[in-house]
Amino acid sequence: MTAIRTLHQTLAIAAAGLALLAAAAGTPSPRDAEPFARAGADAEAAASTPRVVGARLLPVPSAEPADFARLDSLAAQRDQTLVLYSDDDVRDTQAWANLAALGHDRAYVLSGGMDAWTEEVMEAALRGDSADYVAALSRYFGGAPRREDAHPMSAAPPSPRVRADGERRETDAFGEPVRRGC
Amino acid sequence: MSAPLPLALAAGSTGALAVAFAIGVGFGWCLERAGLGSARKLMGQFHLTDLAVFKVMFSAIVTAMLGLFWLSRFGVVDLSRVYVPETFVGPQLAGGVIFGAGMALAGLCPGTSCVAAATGRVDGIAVVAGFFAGILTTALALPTIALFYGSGARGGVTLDSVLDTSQGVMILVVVTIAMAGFVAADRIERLMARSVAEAEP
Amino acid sequence: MSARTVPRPYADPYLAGVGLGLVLLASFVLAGRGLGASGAFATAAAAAVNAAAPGAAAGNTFLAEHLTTGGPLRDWLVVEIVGVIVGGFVSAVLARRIGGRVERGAHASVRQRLASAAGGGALMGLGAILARGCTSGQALTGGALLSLGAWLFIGAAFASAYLVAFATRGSWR
Repeated sequence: MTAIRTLHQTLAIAAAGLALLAAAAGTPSPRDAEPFARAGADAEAAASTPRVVGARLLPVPSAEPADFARLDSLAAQRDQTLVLYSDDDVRDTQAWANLAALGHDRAYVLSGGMDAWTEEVMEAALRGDSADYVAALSRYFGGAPRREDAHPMSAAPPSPRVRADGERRETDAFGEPVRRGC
Repeated sequence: MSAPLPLALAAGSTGALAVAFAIGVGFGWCLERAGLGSARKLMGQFHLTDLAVFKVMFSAIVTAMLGLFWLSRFGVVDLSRVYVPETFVGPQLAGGVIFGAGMALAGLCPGTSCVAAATGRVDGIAVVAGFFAGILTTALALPTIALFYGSGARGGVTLDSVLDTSQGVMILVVVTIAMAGFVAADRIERLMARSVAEAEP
Repeated sequence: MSARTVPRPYADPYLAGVGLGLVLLASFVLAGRGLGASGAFATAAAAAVNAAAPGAAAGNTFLAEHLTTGGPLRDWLVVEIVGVIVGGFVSAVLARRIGGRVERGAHASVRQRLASAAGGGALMGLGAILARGCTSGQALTGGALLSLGAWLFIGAAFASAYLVAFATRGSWR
């Protein structure tokens, strides 16, 4: 058996082992991170609206017993801090109420839902005294704040353009649009 | 404590570009080492005689995939700061078909054509020139197909969310498929080699 | 032929692949992004158009997005591709695989080969723009990140390539 074959087999075993452990672990979030759960909305809308990396789509239980299973498994993770969000402020509150009823006391609702999050943080309009703080907060979460009171000819950072294909652009530390391409 | 990586280098800064260069050198090196700068060798993949393209590509995908998962799990990498390319269903399917046809005609892909050109292969230079012309022409004509170009937008959607499973399970699925593919690849290569040998008088 | 001019054999594909995977991983980990190739060409195209007709590039949405402040050499992918060229060159020199030649089938003329190379390249240009990337950016990078579109691209590209390769197999005999 040549050295290369041995190397192949070692690599294969290592990869298989790491993959099995990954499947057991499920998520790549570090132990102490806060997993996000997204309540409500159907799959189609969910796929095209902004989503937090690592968020799991969670249909809020309707009359069907199957839906409760997912909420149950989340509720069972009592030591995990959960932040629930949906587009409006309705279904995340419902999910929160369910979790609370099941004994989970570390669940929180993102006030105003994804819409408010997008409007107030990710694409915040900067004006007045709070501009710097809001801008820093927005950029921390990877958002693209806009200056409301900028004169078009001023040297302010360019506002994020919505491209022809509907994508949103973020800005880097210098306010320049960050281009992500392959 | 937030994950230290990726590095917070401003786009366009010397540091970021130094990293880009180093990564590129490694990329070109590995491609050339594997022989993927050779159109003959690359076409072997599509003639089923030499499946190096598949082996290299999927070994790379599996390695990077597992590495990223575990580095994130151990808090070394902050996955939310890693850019996931967006999905555009229609354009990417159509683009894939057109790209694949082009690759089979050219015998090289854009990255490998640069390696081929760098190592003195004139056909590599021709692919580079053709690719540049294609990009330029398409870019200028893009407004005419803007609607299709932007269709099927799904954001940074990943296989695990589409199949409603965890990332870990998805990784296991991909690794399993890759391993099965490697076994199949070796079998196919041996089969093809034998049939070529038998065909010889 | 002396020992000095005999080309070294290619590396084992699995090991080269793992090496490539580590480079890709390093890219994610250090730069927060993966590899790419077509983007560099798009930047070059934008810079070229901008140099020839300054207003034209800004007027085209796609090209305008690929204009870099400070010139194309400040673009991540352009610098990366320069690295690819250097890395490929050095590797070939050390492995004694440098040399001007045209790779082609025994029955294909140089002209035919160069024509299909350029034509194939042009098709790849169209495909790469539609797909937002090529084998490096979508298949490798997107694939490792489990992007849905990347895997759709891989499937479509490979299927198409096999069909066209079968149809044109005569030119490589």
